[in-house]
Amino acid sequence: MSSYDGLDLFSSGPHRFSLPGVKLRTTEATAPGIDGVRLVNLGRDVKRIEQKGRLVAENAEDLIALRDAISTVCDGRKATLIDSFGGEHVNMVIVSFVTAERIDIGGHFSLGYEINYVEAE
Amino acid sequence: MSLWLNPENVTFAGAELGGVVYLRLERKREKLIVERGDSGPQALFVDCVGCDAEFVLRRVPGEWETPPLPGTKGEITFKVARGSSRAGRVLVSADVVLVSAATELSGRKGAVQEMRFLAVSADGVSDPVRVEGLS
Repeated sequence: MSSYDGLDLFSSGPHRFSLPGVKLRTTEATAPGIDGVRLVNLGRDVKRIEQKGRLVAENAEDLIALRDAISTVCDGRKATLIDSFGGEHVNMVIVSFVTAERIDIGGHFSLGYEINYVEAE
Repeated sequence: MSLWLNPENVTFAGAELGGVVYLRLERKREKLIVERGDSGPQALFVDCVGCDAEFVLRRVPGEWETPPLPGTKGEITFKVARGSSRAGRVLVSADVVLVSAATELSGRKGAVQEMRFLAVSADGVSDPVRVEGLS
């Protein structure tokens, strides 16, 4: 089960994570008489994770509470994100939590959302 | 969809509509939500958002009759039975808004008018279509 900062924030509805690959930051230098380039490793590039999902509740009040719980952890602090596959991503900060414009009301009350995480130093 | 052939005593906004061939009730959704998760290919959440009830009425209009204007609000009522007997008759009613009234001409049937009424719920939650048994 996915979580952020040890909190079960997303289990009310389905959600998916886009998991990043690895990218290094490098600088390249050339010099006369050298084949190839001189590569300077500047470290791994920042990890960015996108999560898209839907909060689901039986009434509007419960749905707002689910939304508010995520809003509360959008405070700039670093925390550990556990994705759907059990992958652990440390030092992640929620940089955006965007919800759909309207609550969808059908058999349930639901709200689509998108969260963007960035790995902090 | 429910289809009623030859419904009796069809009225809209207090006026009787004659020459009704059939009335049908269509239930439509405004938006379909299908959500999947990371666990597998099947949908984990399906919901229909915005449910509309629309009555479609086909009738042979009177010779000098003009239909009400789209946007006219009123109650639609009619009586229907399961079979040819009067047993088990029900009164169907709903608060509706007329959204269209179009007349077409065919060689065999003559002039046929199709009227569409969108039902309005009293509170946004309860079904706007009321069905009441008649003794």
